[in-house]
Amino acid sequence: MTSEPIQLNRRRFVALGAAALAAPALAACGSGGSGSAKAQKGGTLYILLNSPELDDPATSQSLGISIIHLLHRSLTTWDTSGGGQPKVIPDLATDTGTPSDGGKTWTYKLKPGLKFSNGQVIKAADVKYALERSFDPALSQGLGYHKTLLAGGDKYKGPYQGKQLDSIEVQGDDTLVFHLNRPYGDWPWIASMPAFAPVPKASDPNPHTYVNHQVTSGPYVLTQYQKNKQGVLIRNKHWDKKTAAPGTGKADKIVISLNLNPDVINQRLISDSGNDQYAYTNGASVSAALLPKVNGNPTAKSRMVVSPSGALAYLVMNNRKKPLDQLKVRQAINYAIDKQAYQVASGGSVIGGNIATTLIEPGLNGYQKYDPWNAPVNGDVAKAKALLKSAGVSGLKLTLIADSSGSGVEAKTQAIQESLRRVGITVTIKMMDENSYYDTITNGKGDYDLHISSWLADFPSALGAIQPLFASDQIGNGNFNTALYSNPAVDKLINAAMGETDAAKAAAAWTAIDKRIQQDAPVVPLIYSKNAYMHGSKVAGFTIGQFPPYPNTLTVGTAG
Amino acid sequence: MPESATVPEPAKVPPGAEEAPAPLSPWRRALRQLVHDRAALVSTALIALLVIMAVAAPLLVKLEGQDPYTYHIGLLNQANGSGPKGILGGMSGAHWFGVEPLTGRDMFALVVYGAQTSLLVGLASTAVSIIIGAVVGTAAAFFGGWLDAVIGRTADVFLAFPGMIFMIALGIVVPQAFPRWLLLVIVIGFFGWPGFARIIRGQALSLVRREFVDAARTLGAGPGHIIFRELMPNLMAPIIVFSAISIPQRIGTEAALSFLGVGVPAPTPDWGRTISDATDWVQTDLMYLLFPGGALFLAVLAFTVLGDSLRDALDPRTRR
Repeated sequence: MTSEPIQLNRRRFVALGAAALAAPALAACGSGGSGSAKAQKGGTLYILLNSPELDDPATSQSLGISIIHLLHRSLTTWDTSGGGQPKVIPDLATDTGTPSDGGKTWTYKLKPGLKFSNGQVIKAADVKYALERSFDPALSQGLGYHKTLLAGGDKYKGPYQGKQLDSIEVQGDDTLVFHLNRPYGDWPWIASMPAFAPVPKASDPNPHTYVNHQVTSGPYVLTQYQKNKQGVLIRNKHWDKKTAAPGTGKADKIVISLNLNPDVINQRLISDSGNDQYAYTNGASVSAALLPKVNGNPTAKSRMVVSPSGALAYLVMNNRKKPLDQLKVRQAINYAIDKQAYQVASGGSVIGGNIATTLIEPGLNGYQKYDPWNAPVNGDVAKAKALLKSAGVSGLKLTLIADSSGSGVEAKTQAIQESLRRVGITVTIKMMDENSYYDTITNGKGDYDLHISSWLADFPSALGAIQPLFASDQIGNGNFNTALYSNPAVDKLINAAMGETDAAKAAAAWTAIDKRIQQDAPVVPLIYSKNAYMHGSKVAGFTIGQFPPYPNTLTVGTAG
Repeated sequence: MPESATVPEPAKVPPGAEEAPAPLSPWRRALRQLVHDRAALVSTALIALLVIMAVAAPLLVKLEGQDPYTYHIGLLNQANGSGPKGILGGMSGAHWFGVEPLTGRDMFALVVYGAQTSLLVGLASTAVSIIIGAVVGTAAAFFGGWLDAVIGRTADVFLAFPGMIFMIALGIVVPQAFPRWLLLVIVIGFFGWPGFARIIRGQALSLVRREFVDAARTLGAGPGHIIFRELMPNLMAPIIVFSAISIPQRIGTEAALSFLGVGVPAPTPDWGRTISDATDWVQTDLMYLLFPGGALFLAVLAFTVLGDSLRDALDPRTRR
């Protein structure tokens, strides 16, 4: 990225692997799967969520398979039916985008005959307007990749004062041309994000209330919506199945219950009674304490789907603070950490996650298994002590800050504390409320020694795993280079890899960057966190692939 | 014991009271009654056990061959949510109370060391309350007038104050560097003084007009002498009774604060925090909750029963 920081999904950046809080993601098919009976058309589905509200497309940080896409279609979408890596496929557009000017300009043409839920024809100008409104300060929380990539986006403040963004060019009724400020190979993925879903200008007088009377392009419309309570989705009669991605829009009606306690959600799904037979969650992962209950009940066990992989949980060291600014001390901490203790604290290998050694998580193009430390899973205490000694550091005292609302935060932070106690480092755990925690780690002041984070890429490219966390322009201003890691050589490599439009070459470049960054040991990769989601006995098509670690809500249906 | 009456005499000699030829001192009498009170004996034994457990925690744990910090991941069932392997929370010859889910730390060590925190905070905060309450209460009674009024109203304000909320807020605001146990002692102790002060003021008021106080005053004793040498010794009985009754409350408050995450921080073992962690596991590893919960229950019960017995023995109105 250039000078402007990319704004990233804060909820995706879930402290301590509480990936359960992440914006609900939609569909994936493949390796982790149960309820594999074929999803039928019709019926009512129930989605049980811990999140309190539904998002406006502009404020959403959801992945391409999330609940928001039941209502809104973007230019492109994700095809997870293969079970491996998702593919980007056209949705409203006729193709995934035609690059020109070396990847700096991208052109899309809308499919003919597309209509909004109010019967109005969907035009290219509606997509342009939708993107423009995402620049309004009131709607700034959404995924922001396009905001830093579109030329002139840094100075644009949204359409509500009558200004337009010239780098989104509309040709006729159906053609969109995006002019970027740099070559960007992953733009087809960016075009799948919720902000690329059309919004008719006439229906959007006020950015704050649009969520309550959304005009939709997807298979459903929102008929009732009450924050903290529920949203009811019924069929959009203007949605044409022939233009849609295969397998979407099965159920006739979807009832989304909001703001439920995660344990309550899972207890209900274990019990599987009444309407809960038609229910599922993509937000409340089964907790470690509940797992024996699920495992002890064969029917419940068969209804739990565990993602093969997921968000990278990692220990962040403040690379600017003494003595963590010394490479040897950071290496020592890399050797000292007992990753297995962290894995166990997260619920174990089955639902907690697999031991991580790379920065790019499995399932992303560019992931290559390697281990720069070759230490046992529970650490190498002797080596860590020797490194600390040669760095001249003894009696080290460090503060680890944590978000008190994170799931299982006590056990996870204590696993780090105990790991470091073994090498003579005293860790004080400081619990903070969610808002002050995020402010502290993203304000760039570095008022901490350590914290634990969990990061899931926003689209299946290694770019999303590396650039937001390790590019030096991602320090402070609400961005997530919280290790305050800054290496001009790495910045240069990242910049080159971002412009690469050849997927294979880009993947190789990101793998090399992953290895290069770990030479500086700015963080300790802990585990690739898993999600374990339950569904009712009458839910079909509920599967989770390598990436993303969520079921595809677009293709889940009832089993009749 | 100095001076005449140590405990206010009963208003009336209860009918059927034995006519002792040589009257025992009230303290002796109380002791004799306690020795014959089975509940008092059992609770005293329990308290002694808890105190020994707390003081000798390092020894006991060494005897078991464990410590409260080391992880035993091999004893956890990773395939089933990382709870302990085996039945009853993983109880074995090596781990008498089993191991903790998610960490594999020794439960016996956690419970034994947890007694240190609970008893330390419970006893020390009571001492803080007594000292403040006794001084303030006696002063109010002795000097009377505006001082009495000010102290009385201040106590009212404190009693009406939502202490728990204040303690939680303080736990968040005070810098991490300040030792938590000390903060708990000070905060819980400070919020406990008005109760003591009121009771002691009431008792002291009835003593101030007694002859032995007048006598001391006539002989030229100053307020310091009268308060500390004449009044205090006679206030010992209510102080002891009230302390014994309030210790369990304080142990409970400490556990509650730790339960809410503003108590003693990890890794220092603490019953409240362990109970908080264990609530998630009630359905799948009950032992995790039973040991620290049982220890807390016994501690609170023992102090409460002893407090009742002490009141029976020392308070003349309830003397049998």
